[in-house]
Amino acid sequence: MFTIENLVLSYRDDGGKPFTVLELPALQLGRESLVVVTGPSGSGKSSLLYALCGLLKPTAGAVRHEGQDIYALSEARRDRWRRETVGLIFQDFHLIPELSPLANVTLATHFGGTADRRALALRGRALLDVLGVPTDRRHASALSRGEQQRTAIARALLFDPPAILADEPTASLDAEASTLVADRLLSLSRDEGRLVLAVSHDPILISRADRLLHLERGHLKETEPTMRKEIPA
Amino acid sequence: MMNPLPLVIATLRRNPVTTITFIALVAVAVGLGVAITSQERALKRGSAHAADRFDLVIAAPGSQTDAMLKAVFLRTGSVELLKPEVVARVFAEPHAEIVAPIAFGDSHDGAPIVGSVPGFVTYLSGGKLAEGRPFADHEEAVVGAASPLKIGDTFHPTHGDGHAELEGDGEEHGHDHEHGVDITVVGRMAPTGSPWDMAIVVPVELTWELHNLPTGHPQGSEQVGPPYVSDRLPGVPALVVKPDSVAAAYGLRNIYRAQDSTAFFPAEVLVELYALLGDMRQLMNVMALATQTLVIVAILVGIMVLLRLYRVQFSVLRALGAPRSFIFLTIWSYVALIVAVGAVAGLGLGMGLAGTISAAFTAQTGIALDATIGASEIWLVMAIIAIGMAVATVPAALLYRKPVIDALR
Repeated sequence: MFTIENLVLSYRDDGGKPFTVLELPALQLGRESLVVVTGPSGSGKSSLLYALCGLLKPTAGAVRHEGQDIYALSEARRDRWRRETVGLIFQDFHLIPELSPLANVTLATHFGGTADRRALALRGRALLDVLGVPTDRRHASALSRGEQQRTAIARALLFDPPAILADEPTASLDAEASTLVADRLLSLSRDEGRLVLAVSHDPILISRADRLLHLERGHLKETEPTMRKEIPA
Repeated sequence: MMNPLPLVIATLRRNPVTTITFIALVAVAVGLGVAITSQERALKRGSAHAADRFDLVIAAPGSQTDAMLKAVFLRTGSVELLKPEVVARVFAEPHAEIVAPIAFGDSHDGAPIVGSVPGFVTYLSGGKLAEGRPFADHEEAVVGAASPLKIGDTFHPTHGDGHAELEGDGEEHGHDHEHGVDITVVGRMAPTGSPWDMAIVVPVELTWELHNLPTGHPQGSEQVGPPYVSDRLPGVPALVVKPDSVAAAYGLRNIYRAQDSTAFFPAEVLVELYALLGDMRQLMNVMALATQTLVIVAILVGIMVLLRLYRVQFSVLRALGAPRSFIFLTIWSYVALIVAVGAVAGLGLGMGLAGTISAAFTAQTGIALDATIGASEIWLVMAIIAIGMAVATVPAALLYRKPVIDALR
């Protein structure tokens, strides 16, 4: 569903000299797969993730979703596309602590252009129930860390996006909570047919990956997953 | 529909102490402005109302403001006396319906005792006393509406204006001494909204008698009020005249603006005073507005610092698909809401402040002040809200374009 063509991302350093953080001649990412991106810090992992969700405009090349170059869209249309197509999950959850878990999940329905808010509120509650997050808390800050990350997963799933992009989703969690989250991400790809791409160093998550992408100084080395799973055709 | 409200409220609740401080600062700045303008208007209205029944004042040559402060507002002090022959001439004016001498010199319990005529007491009270009857004898008195004395009470007048006690050492101010006379209260005036509400009014003949002056009547006469015998009249600090027509009012004013007297309409003198006060008010208004602007700018700087802390939150919202306009609207609503809530609270605070000052002023001077919220206060509050809404675009415009990525990594 995502196709990357001749992608180059470069910045200028303090002296004004350009340096390249990411250079990907070609990459295809399909549905129904859990892709884990690894690599040392500064290798361009996060840049790849944010380039995929339309937040980081490449210096050269294209990021296509279903054939559409997403950076050819106007910013407003790209915001809308992101809301419908990509669910984002962060290392530090980034919930609004003063809002209830459900209000956090349905926050994006206030961004405008949402037709059926009631139906989405029902969906949000159902997602929290499935993910085992208590919905009776008045503030998200009252949740455990694992519950907060599962609330963030529910938030990412509200609009039923075909792709979930996660930046170190288990790095702030203990092993038990990490396992819950990793199993959920696996299920989102395998059982629900989504593309799940996670930047992670967590062996718990890596062990479940269908595909491992290793980045080294902006260049891609695809490695075999440690445990190859059956992938339906 | 874009609805930033849940997020705005969550953001306001993140730092409740800061939010309340911001709102309180706006409220105090607006409250001071509201209190100043409404108090100033109340003072104008109250003093004009107090002078309502003092159509024309004739006094010794000199400051008209001084004479007005004495006759209308009972601010006793050094007294230039109107010559007896002028007093006699005014009493003889055919177009003067009421001629009331105003004579001071005594007090009781801090309340001034004013010597005058029965007809003026009735006139001041609105044509009819609230209780009892006008004085008909030297040892009778009518009290103002706010006087603690009741009908039937008796008291000894004290020589002096009664303010000596306030200086704390009454003993040394030997000129305050009791006159050996019992005065009985026989009537009470309706409220006039002036210092006369706290005064005790006695026949002017008594005041003259107590100070060893001729009483306006033949020796030994106990008569109270006009007509007077011209060559038995003493000088008086001021005469209040009710002319029988507007033409007569102007006529009399012209006649007694002369070598040995001055004549004026208190309303006119008040207008001159207001003009002077008006300049003061302009100055105070400018100062109040400057304070308000400073407060808003200070709050704006505070908000800018605070919003930096929220940058991650706004970046996350963008990552979740919020358009820039949503971020702009959220920050704008946040700032505008603080200013609007503060401004409305300031209106209430200003009302309370003006009411308190008015009550204290009335208790001290007897001039009835009724501070109200008028169009100018509403305009001030709306102007502050409008300014708040305008300045709210500054942090909104500065922050909504910040790159999303920097804050997320």
